[in-house]
Amino acid sequence: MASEKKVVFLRSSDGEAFEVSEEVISAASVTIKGMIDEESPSRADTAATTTLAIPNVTAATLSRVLHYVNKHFDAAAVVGRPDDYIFCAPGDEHPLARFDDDFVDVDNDTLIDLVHAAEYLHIKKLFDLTCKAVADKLKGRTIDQIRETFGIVNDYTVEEEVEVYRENSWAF
Amino acid sequence: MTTPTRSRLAREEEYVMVLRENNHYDGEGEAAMAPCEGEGKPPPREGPTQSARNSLRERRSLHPSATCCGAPPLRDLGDDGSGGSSGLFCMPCCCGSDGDVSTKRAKLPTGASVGVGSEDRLSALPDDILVLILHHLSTCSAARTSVLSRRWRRVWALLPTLCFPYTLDPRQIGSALEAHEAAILYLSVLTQDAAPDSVSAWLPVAAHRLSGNLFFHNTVVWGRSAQEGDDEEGPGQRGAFELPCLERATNVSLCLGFLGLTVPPAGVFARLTELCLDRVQLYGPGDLDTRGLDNLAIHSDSLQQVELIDLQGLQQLNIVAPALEELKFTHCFFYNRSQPVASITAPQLATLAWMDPYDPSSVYLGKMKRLRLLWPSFFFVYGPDSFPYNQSCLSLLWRFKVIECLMLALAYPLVSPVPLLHEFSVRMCFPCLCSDLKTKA
Repeated sequence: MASEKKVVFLRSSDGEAFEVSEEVISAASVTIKGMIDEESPSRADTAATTTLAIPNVTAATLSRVLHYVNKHFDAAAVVGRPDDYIFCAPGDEHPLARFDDDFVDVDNDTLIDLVHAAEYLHIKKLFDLTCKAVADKLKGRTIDQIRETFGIVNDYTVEEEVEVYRENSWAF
Repeated sequence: MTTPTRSRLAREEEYVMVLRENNHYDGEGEAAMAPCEGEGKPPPREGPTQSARNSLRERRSLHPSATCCGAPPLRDLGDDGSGGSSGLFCMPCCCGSDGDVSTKRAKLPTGASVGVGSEDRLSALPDDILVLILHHLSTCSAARTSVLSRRWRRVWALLPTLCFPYTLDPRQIGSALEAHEAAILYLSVLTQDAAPDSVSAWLPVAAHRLSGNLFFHNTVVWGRSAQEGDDEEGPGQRGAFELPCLERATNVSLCLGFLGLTVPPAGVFARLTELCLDRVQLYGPGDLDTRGLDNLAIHSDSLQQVELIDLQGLQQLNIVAPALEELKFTHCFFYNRSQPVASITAPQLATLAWMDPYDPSSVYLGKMKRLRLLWPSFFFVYGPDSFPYNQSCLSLLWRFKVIECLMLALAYPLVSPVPLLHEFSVRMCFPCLCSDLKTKA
């Protein structure tokens, strides 16, 4: 049994099930690790694999998240040891930096779905990555460009807006 | 404890920064370092209505047929009180055939097209996530998001980390801190040639809300050596500001470019674990017309690291800190020609850097059984016998029977065809060799 890799199934909110190594997902997601730990006493008796419901995450997002998790947390797939920047020569980027860049190069809605999923599943690295990617979309843009990019509706009255500008004039 | 400083203590004024113990740590000291990235020049300052008008005008010119799909026509912000409307953002999706529009859309980065016209999912994120997103921006950029919409007005004010850059007028830091609402875990303020009253405008505000790190670095634009300062510019000429009580601060680092700092006769810094004073002219209260504070006493049960650099005019140092692990004392007595007087009681000390004159008859170093690393001032290899710094260096080495790790800088005179003007000019131009010698008793 020990030689066999344990797997769990994650069922997305829209009913699709994804298979993932228990070891990998436990290392990645605090939430799922907690679910597995809760299940484990009952699992010991049966050979059946566990299916965990992930009610807050759609199949599209979950498959992306699992893609990230397998890249970052599967020891066999990771070059060197995960997160070990010591093995990189100065100036070298982390082996997964390019993967990360591509991973978050998605439209706003997908990105925000990923933020939600990372937060719900408690995957800190993914959460930090996606928050930073949202921040990068805000960087270097004017207020109007930010509103336009994210569809933020300016609901200030003119007086209020003048007031907010005045209050924060130091930042402009 | 008998110290060689007793007589001086009796005749000189003494100010004690009492740093009392209060071992209730909340773990608040672990404030993340915030990236204070340089960013693009902020948009030119103009009236909000004006800038909004300009951008609307720009959009209008891009979309001459904005109403083609029935969306309400664009309104100028000045037209009525409502500011914007949802129709504002649906133009590109319904006017794809417009040449101008498609060019514009092609320039937009990935995802922009989806955001346009769709619901505002970013603003729907909870506060704590938005704060973590803003955490990746500079403090100024984060604060600018307050004008996006009502939802965003107070989000930046929840940031636990604030970094004010050089470019900000220091007089505005106070108003920024007043608009800010949350507890501050990390405050970094960089200024250039700050006037003491500009510091007094923000530091007391920060002191109330700070429960973590304070990093204040004031740069002096034109260089001025410490020696010149004493002769040409009298003490107090730069002025001084008062150090408020930082009750919940854990790390305080003040690098002031010789700006004066008035310390309270007895301040309570109950949680302080790290203190760094760099190029600070210390004064006692009401002391500005004198030479300043020449006697610094630090009594603390919480301090773990102390770094004192270039404290001009300091003649006497007294530290009693049972938890202290690291002490770096650099160039405080260096320019004084008088006898160095100090008393250090720090039984847990593991690292001692003493880049200053040392005289065993007037500098008392208590028991330091845990000392691992000793870092004396440099040794001038071909220096004359009387060279005082060599004496200091050797005396300090002799003080310890076993030194596990020694950082010793060896200084050599620069071999140069140009004759040196006088002996001490060598000090300014030697190449330093730092060697890490391991010695066993």
